[in-house]
Amino acid sequence: MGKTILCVDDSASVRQMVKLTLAGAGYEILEACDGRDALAKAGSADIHMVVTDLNMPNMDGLALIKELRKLPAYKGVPIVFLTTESDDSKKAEAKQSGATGWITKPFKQEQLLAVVKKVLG
Amino acid sequence: MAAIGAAAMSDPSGGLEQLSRSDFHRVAQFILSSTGIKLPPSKKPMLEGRLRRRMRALGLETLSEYCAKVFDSRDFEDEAVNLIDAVTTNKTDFFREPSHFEFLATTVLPDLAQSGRAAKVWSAACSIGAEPYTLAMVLSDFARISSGFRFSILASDISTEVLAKAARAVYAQEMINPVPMTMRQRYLLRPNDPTLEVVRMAPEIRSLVRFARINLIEERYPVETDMDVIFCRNLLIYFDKQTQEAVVRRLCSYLRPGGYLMLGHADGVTGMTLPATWLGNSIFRREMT
Repeated sequence: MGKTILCVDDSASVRQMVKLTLAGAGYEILEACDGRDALAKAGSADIHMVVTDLNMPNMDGLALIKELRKLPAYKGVPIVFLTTESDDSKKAEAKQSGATGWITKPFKQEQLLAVVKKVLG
Repeated sequence: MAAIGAAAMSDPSGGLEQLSRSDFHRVAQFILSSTGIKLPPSKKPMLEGRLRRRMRALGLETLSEYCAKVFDSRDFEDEAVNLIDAVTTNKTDFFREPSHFEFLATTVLPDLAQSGRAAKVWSAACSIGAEPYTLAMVLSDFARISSGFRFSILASDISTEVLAKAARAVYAQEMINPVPMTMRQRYLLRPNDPTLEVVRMAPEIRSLVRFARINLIEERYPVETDMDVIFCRNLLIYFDKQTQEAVVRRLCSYLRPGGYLMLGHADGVTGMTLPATWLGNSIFRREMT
C-alpha cells in the first residue's frame, strides 16, 4: 500500500490539484479543509507526510504544526507548507515550529512531486 | 371623465398605445427568424415596453409609426440591429448558479492544469458581462495556485448594446454582492468619487475577455472547435424546442471530446439526443469519441 499524505487547504481546487499530482505517483491522499479538520483526522490514519496551507480559517497552518508536533506520532512526520505567503518571518516561524519545507503558490506540479519524493523516498 | 378613468385603471398598459395584432405578429416573426427567440402573446407587454424605448429614441410618436419605419421603409437595415438589441437585452448576475463555478474550479481546471492544456472557455450568451468576468476572476484565482496555468475567455452575445456595456465593465454596486470579498479586493475598482455607487472590473480582468457578436441560431460559429468549457445559460428557454436542440447540438460540436457544456437550471433538454453525458446540475460532458 502507498504512503498516505494529509493535504490541508481551505481551497478545494488546491486539494484537487495536490491529489491529482500525488495520487498519480501512487500516494494516498487524505484531505482536510483547515487546521482543525486536519487535527481531527490526524489520529484516524497512518499519515506519512503533511502538506498544508498557511492561511486558513478555524486554525491556520502555524497553529496546526505546533499542535501536531506535540503528538508523539507526529514528532518525525515531514510537514511541508504549500502557500501563497512568501514572508521571511513567517518562514522562520514555520521552521522554528518544525516545518520540513516550504513551497510557494502558484506551484508547479513537478516541484511538489519532487519535494514529496525527496522527503518520503 | 369617470368612464375614461375607469377604462385607464382596467387597462394593463396604463393607457399607453399598444401594438396592433398585425404589428405584434410581424415583430415577433422578425425576431424569431433572426434570433430564434419566440415571443408568445404573453410577451406582448414586455415587447411594447422595449419598442417604446426605440420609438422615443427615434423621436417617433406611436408604435405603429415605429413598425412602419422598421418594416415599410428603407431604414429597415439600420433599425433591425437596434430592434434585436432592444428585445434581447436581459439582466444577468455575477456567480449565477455558483455550483457551476465551483465545479469548474475544483474539477475541470485541476484536470486541465494536470494535462498542461491552456483552458479555452466560451461564455456564449454573455449579456452585460457578469458571466465572463466571473469566469475571468475564477480562472485568475486558479492561476494563482497553479504555476503556468494559461487560459482564454471568449464572450459573445447577439446584442451589440450589451456587448458594449460588457466591454465597459462598469456595474452597479449591488450587482457585486455575490462576488467573494477576496476577489472584490483583487479584481474590482471603486470610483474616485465615493458617491458613485458603481464598480469597474480591473484592467487585468477586462483584458482577459475577448468579446464578439455571435448569433447562436446561425449554422456555423466563428469559434474554435476545441473549447474546453462552454457556458450557455438561461438562453434556450427563449427558443422553440427545435431550435433549442439544434443550438445545443451545435454547441456540443464546438467542444473538444471530454469538454463541458454548462446550461442554466431552467434550460430543459428532455427528449434531445445529444453527443454528451448529463452529469447533473445542468452540466453535460461531450463524449470522448
